[in-house]
Amino acid sequence: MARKIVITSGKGGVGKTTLTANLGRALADLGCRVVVIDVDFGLNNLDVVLGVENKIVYDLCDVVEGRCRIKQALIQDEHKCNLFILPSGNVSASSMISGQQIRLVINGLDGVFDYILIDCPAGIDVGFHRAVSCSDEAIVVATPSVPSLRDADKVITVLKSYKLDKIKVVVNRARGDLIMSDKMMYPKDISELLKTDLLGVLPEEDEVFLSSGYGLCKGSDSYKAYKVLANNLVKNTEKIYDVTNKYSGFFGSIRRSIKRGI
Amino acid sequence: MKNQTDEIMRVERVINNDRLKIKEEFSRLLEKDLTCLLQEYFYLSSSPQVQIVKKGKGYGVSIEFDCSNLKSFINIPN
Repeated sequence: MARKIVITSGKGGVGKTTLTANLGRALADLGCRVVVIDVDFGLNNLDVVLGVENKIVYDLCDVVEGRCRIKQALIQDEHKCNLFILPSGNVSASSMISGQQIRLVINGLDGVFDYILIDCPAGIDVGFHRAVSCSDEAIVVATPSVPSLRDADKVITVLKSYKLDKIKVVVNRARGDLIMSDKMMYPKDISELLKTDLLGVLPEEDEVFLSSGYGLCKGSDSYKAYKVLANNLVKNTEKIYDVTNKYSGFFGSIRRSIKRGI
Repeated sequence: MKNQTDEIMRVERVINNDRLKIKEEFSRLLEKDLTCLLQEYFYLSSSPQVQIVKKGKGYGVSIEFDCSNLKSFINIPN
């Protein structure tokens, strides 16, 4: 049976879609069969982040409305044969689609995949409830900033009412240099403030921006962080990628000074 | 320039107020009103500190203040 995980945040622009795509890739690297589903109707970007926007023939709306079968709408990733994407589109029809209809589609993928990652829209209105009602677990993405954490806390409160199996936090865009300089919150402090377990920490890196549509470069800090995150999810471990590692010690202080200068 | 501790305290304050569903201004106004009220009864040496916490379905409110002396009541003739 597949693990159905919704990736949500409350606040927009914190990296939900990027995390969904890269976590999907990292899980596929571990040999899991993964499908990433875009439930962000109208503002769908998962296809672009995964670089498959030119391959879309059918989308989730077509499946729901019976114009095609699920298999026809699934797009296989170019580099990983065990990673698929179910895109969304068609803004006008989205208001007519209920959570129950999406749940039926997702249930149809249950036996075929190990992980079903659902990219949730920002906010806590209809789209959010539609995405969460199809899931068993939730990953709340937050950046170390006051607006993001405030929204994450509100989202966690709403998620608790759904009685999901697991709710975990991923701190995105953590900057080791700022944490070491006492100017950014430690991810563990964020986890304590939100009273929610930490699943992983992802560093702020140009690589994430540059790799959009192509996949992260092996050996980059982000790639390593996603690998740790995927392992935590699969093996139920609590290892946290140390974003401050590069910025501690003598050479670390030089790196910090250079970054501050830039 | 912001620092880690200030940022944590700020998030904590914002989140707690959200969880309690009270505005930040509420505590400030309550403290101001309480100061006026308590000054009628005590010689205050510090302004009252109000702490509101969620307690079951309601709230628990604790008020703490220091005073140097109690004011004596004066009988006002009718």
